[in-house]
Amino acid sequence: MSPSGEPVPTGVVPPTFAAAPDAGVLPLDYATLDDRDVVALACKGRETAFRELLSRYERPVFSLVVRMVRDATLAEDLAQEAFIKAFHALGSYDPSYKFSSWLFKIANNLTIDHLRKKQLDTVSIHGSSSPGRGEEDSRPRIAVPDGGETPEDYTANRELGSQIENAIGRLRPEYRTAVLLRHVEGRSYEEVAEIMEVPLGTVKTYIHRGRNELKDLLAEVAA
Amino acid sequence: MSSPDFHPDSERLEARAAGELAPHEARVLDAHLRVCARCRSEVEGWSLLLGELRELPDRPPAPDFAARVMARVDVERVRQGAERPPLLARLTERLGDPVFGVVRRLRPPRRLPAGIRTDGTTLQTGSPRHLTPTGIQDYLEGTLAARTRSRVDAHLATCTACSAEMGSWSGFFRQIEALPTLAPRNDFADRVMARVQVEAVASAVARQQRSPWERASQGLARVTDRLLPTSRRGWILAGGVTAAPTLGVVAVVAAVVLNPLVSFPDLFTFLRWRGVEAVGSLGRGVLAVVAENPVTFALFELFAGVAQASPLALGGAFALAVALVGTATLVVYRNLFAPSLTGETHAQPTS
Repeated sequence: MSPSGEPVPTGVVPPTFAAAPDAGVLPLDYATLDDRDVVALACKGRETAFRELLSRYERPVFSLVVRMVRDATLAEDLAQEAFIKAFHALGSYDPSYKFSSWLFKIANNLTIDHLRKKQLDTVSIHGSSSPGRGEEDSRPRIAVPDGGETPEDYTANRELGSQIENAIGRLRPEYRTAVLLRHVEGRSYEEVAEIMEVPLGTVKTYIHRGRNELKDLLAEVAA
Repeated sequence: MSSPDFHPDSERLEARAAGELAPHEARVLDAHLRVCARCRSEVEGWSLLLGELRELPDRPPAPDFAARVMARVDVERVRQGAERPPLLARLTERLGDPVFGVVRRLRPPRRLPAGIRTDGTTLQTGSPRHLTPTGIQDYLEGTLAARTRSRVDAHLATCTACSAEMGSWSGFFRQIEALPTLAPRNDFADRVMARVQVEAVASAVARQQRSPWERASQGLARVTDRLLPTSRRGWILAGGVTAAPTLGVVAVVAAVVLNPLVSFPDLFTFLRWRGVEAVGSLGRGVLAVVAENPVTFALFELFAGVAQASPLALGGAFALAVALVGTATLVVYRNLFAPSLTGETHAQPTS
């Protein structure tokens, strides 16, 4: 019996929403299902399917968001919003794309929106989406929040104190997202482009420049 | 692009010959090359030239080459020039991003020739060919073409500076890829699920997947469901309201059937006459009330004013009316058809 105790259809699980698994006789092991099938089950109102998607992606999504905003409590709120938004919009999800890319896109957009709103109170986070040398020299950095940690002393906040995490936090948001998706999440360039909704060439530029800056920042710290 | 009337610029053709175009760009350009002899010949020319350039041997400069160059370079001036931002950036800073940010975004990005280093550093004074940081990163990511990769391998075998740089980048890659995946608090999933309306999501998805006819019939069924009584008292009341006219009709029919002096044709003629008379009276009464009502006079004046109003005022009034009707329709739709996706919910954690 599966942990959820839900029945599973006999035979192979179909890949599309229209032919999503129905109630059958075998126990359903969600962990073995493809994302699209789990989404199809969620669309049928199976709460366990929602929980399976959460268990698969709560860490990756939270990791990305917390490294973007550098505040664990805020990151949890944003990640939570991302999941709720995605779940309520499951009807608009196109199964021909990867669910994870779609989810990351929602989370990234929410995070970038938050950073933009936050920067309105301080200083613009954008020089331009296609930065040149002059902009790089004068561009402002995202401020790293100091203190403010809640009584729940997160492991995340401790992790964010390491040298490389601090260096990542000093990158401009586009570079940060691209580098994190590529190297921490192991996404392909095409997936990163899809998530960030920018052309492939722009993603390559972001990643190369982000890595160059990151390496320079780490060298500065080491020196 | 495939039209012979439109020719790509030389820069793009050169990039195609050097294999630097993205696959989708290359496919589009190839479609053009198949029909355009002129561009095809230019690409062939570039390929030939680039091939010859690749075959050129590395000729070391004279031993004092670096010293002679550096003797003529004003390092301090170069440094100041590098630190001084471009004119546009300085003007932007002074006059504000809203003005010059637009110009900057419209300006095409500066394109550097392939192989030119952009970071301003050199690995080894006087050596003409070293790996760029971009090349090293592409090598480590395995995105280089096989031929280029073998050339890089050959270079690394002989160049200690590039080998060291490659080692440095390799360590950097390992460092960044070793970053842990961070976890939210344990109750994260429960908190999300407490705000997700699972049934509303399922019904919204199901509604999107149904045909318009199915949606219409289900909407009608939903409205009917709302109209039906939900309690015993409601059913008794509804039954009484429904039964009263039915009993009245039954009584009339029984009276007609049982009375030998009245026939159905007579009854029909009588009812039609009474009906026509009643409708006529009603019409006359309504006309009298409407025509002599001060509200009617006010409406007539309003219409007369509208007829003389300017097109702009008429357009505004029309837009307002459309907005009002649209809002009303939306309110009706949301209250009758659309499931609520907001608010607190019922979803409980599974055991």
